[in-house]
Amino acid sequence: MVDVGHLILILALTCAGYSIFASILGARKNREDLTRSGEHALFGVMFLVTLAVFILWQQIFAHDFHNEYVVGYSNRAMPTFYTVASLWGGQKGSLLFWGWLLTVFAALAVYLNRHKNRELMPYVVAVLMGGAMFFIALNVFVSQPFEKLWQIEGTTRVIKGIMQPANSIPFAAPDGRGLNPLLQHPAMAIHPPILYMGFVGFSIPFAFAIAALISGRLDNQWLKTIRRWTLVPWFFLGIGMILGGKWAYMELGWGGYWAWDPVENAALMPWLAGTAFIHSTMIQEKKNMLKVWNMALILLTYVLCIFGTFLTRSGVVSSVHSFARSEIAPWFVGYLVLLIFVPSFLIIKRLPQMKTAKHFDSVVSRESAFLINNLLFLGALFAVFWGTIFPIVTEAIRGVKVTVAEPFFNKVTIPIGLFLLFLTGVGPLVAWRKTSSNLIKKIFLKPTAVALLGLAIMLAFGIRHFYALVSLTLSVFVTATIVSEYHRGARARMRTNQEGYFTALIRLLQKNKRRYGGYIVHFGIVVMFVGFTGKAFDTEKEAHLKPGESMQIRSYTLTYKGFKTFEDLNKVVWQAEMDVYKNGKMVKTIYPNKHYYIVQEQPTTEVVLRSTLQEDLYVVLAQPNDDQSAVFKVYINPLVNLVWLSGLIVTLGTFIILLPDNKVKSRKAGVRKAQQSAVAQHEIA
Amino acid sequence: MAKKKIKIAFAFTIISGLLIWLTLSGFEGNMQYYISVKEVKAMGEGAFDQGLRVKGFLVPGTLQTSQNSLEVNFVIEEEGQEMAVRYAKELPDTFKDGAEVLVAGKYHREGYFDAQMLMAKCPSKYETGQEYDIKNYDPSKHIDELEGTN
Repeated sequence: MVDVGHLILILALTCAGYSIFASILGARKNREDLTRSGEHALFGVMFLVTLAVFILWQQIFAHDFHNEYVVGYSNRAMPTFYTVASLWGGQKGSLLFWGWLLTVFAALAVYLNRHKNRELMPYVVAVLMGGAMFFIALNVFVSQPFEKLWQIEGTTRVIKGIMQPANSIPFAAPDGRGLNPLLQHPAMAIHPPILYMGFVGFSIPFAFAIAALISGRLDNQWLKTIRRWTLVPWFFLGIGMILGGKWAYMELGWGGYWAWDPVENAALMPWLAGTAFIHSTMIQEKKNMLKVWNMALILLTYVLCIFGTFLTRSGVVSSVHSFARSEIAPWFVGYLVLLIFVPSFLIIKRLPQMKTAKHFDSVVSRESAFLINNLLFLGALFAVFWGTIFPIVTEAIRGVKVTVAEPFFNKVTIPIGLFLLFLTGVGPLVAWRKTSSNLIKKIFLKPTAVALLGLAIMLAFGIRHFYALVSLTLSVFVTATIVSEYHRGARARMRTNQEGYFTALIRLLQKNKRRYGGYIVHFGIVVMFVGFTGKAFDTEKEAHLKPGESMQIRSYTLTYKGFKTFEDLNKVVWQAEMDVYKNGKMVKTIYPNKHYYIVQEQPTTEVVLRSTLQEDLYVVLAQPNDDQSAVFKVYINPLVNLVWLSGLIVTLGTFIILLPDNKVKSRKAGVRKAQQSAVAQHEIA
Repeated sequence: MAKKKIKIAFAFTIISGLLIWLTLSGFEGNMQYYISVKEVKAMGEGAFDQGLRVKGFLVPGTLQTSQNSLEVNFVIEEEGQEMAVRYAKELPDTFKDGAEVLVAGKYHREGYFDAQMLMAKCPSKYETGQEYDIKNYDPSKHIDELEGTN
């Protein structure tokens, strides 16, 4: 018997096909009933895929080990929290999850626009359902989450398949493989869904862009509609990367959080393009320029989202000759080709309508600051992209894979990043059109003075690392510009509205969330750069210690007391004990662990930290020996906690920008009140 | 107006040029051939003294750890060709017998590979074939692809 989940997916695929057909036909023939029908079909697809997801979840929770995916990514011993994560633990489930998020986002977007953007919506629906069809088709034809295990009768052979093969009986495995222990970490459990929300979320702005191109409604209406729809996935991508970094830092035990792995770059690339887009749309909104450029950027962002999903899920880059082995690769390549050619064709077709008569007035203006910003983001993207796909390209051309190592990425992206940091301070302050040199002097005098003072202090403290000096000086500079912006805004309000300083600051933020919330996001980025800069001052040391012996690293002394071994549920634990002294003063006793998961036959390193804002002491029990001696690896990672903290600041800033505007809210509330009183009066009558 | 335009175009050209130069110059010295053990052996003399990234499988039983340091020695193989590897940093948790191992570093004339970077993927029956033997069915060996790790 074919699993009902599989049948539901087939139904969803059909339904999505109908939705595209009805929407496009409805738009062409100008028939509202058809476009509405297309929208209803979209809700139907959402409902069906949701059902499929819950069926898979049900099978995972019920330990239905007849299902091959359930065997692969869950087992009986797993805690419930991680059982939920089994849904996206493997390729099949994660593709289903992708499709599900897409349909949910799509349904939300269609619902919110049920009375708005009526000319655009049929095409939005068609594009979104096209994307949904791609992912559902993957689940139906190649990467099937409802595949079952079958035992050939009279033999010991087990095969997997959607249909029951002849002469076979259903086979249920006694227990599952379980989620890889490395993935059983809170940050890792929520990292994929958050990252996916980013990847998937960009479908909405992409769909609106395509709809604008097809319908010819190329004014700024579509841009306004997608403002929040762009910011949300951008935010999720960023937070997803930070969570992934946190996971790597805590679980992988090599003391770092970012390694320019293809899978990491997969998320970074759309983030870079998306960030460029978020900035350049402001020029279009304010100056009605760069229409073609913005269109190209959002299309690029979405293509990179799909490309990123492909990289993450196919393993094309990480293996020597994996391309032929990956079943989903040809599908993704086909979809990517479609995604590049169709939109490019549409842009070329609409080129005459998107031309603008406006020009740049000056090199020192906000427009050109934005454009340089875009250039730098795309430059970084270009470098990361080439570095990531270089092995594929060389394999295609020369038959041998050539990879570029980590130093390449650092060498290229650090200078670009620092230039961008500089622009973070300069860009928002220079005026539109043209900034006079007097004004420049006035605005930048104080921040520059503060930054130079900071530089002098750092030099006095003996810091000589070039990039670190540049990065920290720029960080001081940008912080100073942000503070001065708030200060100036608040002072202006104090004068005009007779408010106190503190009230003026809050009101300032309330009245202009996008600008001042944006500054908070910028400040978060500054904090992140300071955190990155800590990398310049880190150190590591390896030591072989017998019980009672100590090791010294910077101002820390670690005294090893010995380790104990015990068994715990599904793992063996080696637990070492160490006293940590800082400058001779005992500060903490730490217990670095090594676990060995019995079922998976896999060790995991359990890092311990002594964490302060200033630095992390990061201790790994590398190897416990039979004679109670042990090998330890110890790292000191200065400022690393600022990287995580910056995530919170960016979250706060993004949240403020996303808050609804007061005016609109109060107007709506007023309407609602009026309606309510009308209803009440009616009832009384 | 025309003068301004030229000025702006000039500024952007310079920046674009710098970005492209930065990317291209970054490639220099940071490229590594990504090959299998078999291909290393086939390279002969050419394999020495250049950055390589080699993939193979850890030969069971060849891992030699040291009591007092992180240094390990082991052998990886592919299709019968073997290569000795030396590595002195902490091993990833996925490193175990039969694992697919990726090492980056240099091949020395003394006949061993000096690895500066090591990645390991668990042995995977799942990806290679559709069938497995029920008599020897072991759920722990069933699927072991480390997917979606950051």
